[in-house]
Amino acid sequence: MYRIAAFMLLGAVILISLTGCFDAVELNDVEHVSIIGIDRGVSDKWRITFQLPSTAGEGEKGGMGGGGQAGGGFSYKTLTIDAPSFFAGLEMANASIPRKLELSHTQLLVFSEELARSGMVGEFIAPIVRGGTIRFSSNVVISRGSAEEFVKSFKPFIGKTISREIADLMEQANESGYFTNLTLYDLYDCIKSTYHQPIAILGAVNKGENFKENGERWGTEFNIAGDYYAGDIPRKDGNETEILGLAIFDGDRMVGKLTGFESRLLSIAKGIFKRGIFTIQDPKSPDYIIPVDTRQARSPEFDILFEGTKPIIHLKIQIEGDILAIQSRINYEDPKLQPILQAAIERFIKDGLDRTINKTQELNCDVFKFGQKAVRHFGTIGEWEAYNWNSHYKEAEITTEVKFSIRRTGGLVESSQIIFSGEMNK
Amino acid sequence: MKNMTKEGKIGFQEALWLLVITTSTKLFFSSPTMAVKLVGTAEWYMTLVSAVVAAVGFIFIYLLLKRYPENNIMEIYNDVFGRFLGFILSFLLAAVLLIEAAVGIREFAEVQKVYVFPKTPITFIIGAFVAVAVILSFLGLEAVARYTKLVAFSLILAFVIIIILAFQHYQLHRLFPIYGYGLGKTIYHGAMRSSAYGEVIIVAIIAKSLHGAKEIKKLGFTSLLISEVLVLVAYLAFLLTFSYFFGRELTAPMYVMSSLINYGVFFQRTESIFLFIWNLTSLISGSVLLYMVLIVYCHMFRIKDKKPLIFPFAIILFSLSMIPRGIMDVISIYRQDLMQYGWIVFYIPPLIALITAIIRKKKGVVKSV
Repeated sequence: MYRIAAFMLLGAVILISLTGCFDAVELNDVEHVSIIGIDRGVSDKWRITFQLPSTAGEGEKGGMGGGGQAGGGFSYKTLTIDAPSFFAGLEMANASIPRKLELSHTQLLVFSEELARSGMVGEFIAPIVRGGTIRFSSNVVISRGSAEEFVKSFKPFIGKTISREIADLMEQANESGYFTNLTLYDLYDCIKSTYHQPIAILGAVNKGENFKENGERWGTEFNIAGDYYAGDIPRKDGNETEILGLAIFDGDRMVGKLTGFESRLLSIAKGIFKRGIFTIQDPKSPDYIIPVDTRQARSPEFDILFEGTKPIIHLKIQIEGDILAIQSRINYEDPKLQPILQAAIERFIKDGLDRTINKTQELNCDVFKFGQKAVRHFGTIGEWEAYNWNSHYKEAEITTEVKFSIRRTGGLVESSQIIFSGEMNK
Repeated sequence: MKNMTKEGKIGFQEALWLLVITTSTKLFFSSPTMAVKLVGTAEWYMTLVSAVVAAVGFIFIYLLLKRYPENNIMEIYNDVFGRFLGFILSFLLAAVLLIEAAVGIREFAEVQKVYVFPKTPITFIIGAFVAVAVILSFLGLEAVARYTKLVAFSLILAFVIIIILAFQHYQLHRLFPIYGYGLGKTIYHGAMRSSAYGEVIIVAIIAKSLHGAKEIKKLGFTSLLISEVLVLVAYLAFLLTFSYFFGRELTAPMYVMSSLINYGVFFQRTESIFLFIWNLTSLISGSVLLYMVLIVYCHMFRIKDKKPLIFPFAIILFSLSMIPRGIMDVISIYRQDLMQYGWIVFYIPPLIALITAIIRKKKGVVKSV
């Protein structure tokens, strides 16, 4: 008898407790926010833009399960609101949206460059981190234009889901190194860091202004591939938004930016570069170019010494790569000629690296994370904080050394000359 | 089957995991945050200092129990100090364990409210927790110990999985400057926070359920060693993931660390694994501490049946856990004080009892051969 009573009591407890009680969330009660854009407001302090996915046809067919709409795909809607705080904006949004906005699946936080340069990023993300509703793994993008415009323009280009689009787009950091996959965790850690200064992904709406339909055809001049800021790539069509380069912060104030090319060199110097194609001028025939598929051969080596309070840094990077093309058809595959090509690649990368380091030193922002090695010279936090690495970075004397090795030459082991007819040779 | 025990006895493995889980549960809450505030980047080896001091404290407990091979700590206090002083010392022990259980439950509930159940009333979370502790108390020490052993391996496995998966965020430079806020501070706070391993006193409370002084010695040191390894690994993982200026801000750093794990669209949001460890260890820890309080209390008043006291003590536990005004009171006052001063109750009375017993040439009587 007691056993039956105990069993019934246990059953009742399970029935009650498994309903989810107070924190139960029905899918129909919430609207997941995919992207949040933050600008400086006009009617109030912050202008917050939410991008929300909604199931196509849901309204007409009376629910998600109705009327053969399965697989109908998603459409995306945006809502922009001026509010005194992020959480106030979230609540005020519910004056027009009948579902609670849910942030646990938010993948992108977009700040406008204007807001970032005014040093308001820290002020905005502090309550977000405290609230814990947006995950630390959300990516942070600094938009060169308004964040509202970026969010409204961000649409799936391949496939139908924005979440997949964002995840795949961030994966491109590993494919090209033109930006780094950085999250809210990285930004929050870095804005308080005594070791280095923060960076964030740079994004923009590309309006195609740099794409010239007509004009004089390109000659033999040389342009460094990827040496653009987001929004400046000469292109048309494709996705309206693009992500390229990095924004540099001093604390929580944006003070500069790196191009895609510079961002790649930063990745190499930090040892997080996966692969990317460097296109260099042919050392023997500068009218032609040689693209090289490059990857990190070894982790970069830093040597840091101090002369008084001045840091002396030597950075050595070792990369390797495979030749993708030799337009000039000079036989660089030959081991006797390979050193010429290797030296040219080393020079090219070293010049770019020195340029990038100079740029960050002018901004006094150690985004290379040299401070992570420098800290080992200090015994206690008190000594380290009293020295204040971030204030001494501009004084650092930095030398670089690049080693490059050609590993493979693709499907060809020799480049022989193209043969023309006699008339052509003349 | 070699660990199966007679009625009233628990096996080595059961007792070991019971001690390890009860001791190391704290690391899942604010403990790493508070430690990093005190010693900065030296947190990971500060816990070594704590463990060494706790081991020294346990040596006193062990030597005392060796002198009284068939008695528990409450009986020893009575024999060495007399009934009145022994009663007071036992009461102090019960009070500290009860406060520790209450603080643990409140901390668990508060962190659950912050990260998992924001709308659920705190009374509901604590009530549900206490209800489980009541059920486990009715089942008795042996059942709790066996259950602990049953889940211990899956909990350890889940813990190891989380630590390995979090590897993607580990950065070695976060351990520097190596001396944190100074070596002196690290040693001082490490010694003071030896109370973090104070649960080893449970060995002395359940001494009569164990198999003699030799097993007690092995049990105490092994549990301290395993707990220390778990805490050390967790603290190292925490420091490698969060710089000292970031980690000091977090309410439940280990939870946040597990939520950071992201290996692409198909493998992320692993905090659900962490929640599994979190809930089970907290429930075991809270229940064990409540049961220990019942054992001590029943001994103090010579009550043979614990069952009638379970509900009253559950109500006291619930009420005590409702006293702190909020999470900051729990973390920065109650938990902090327990960590800083718990050793006074855990290690000092056994030491004084040992010295007194030696001076007064007191020894336990061995009744059985």
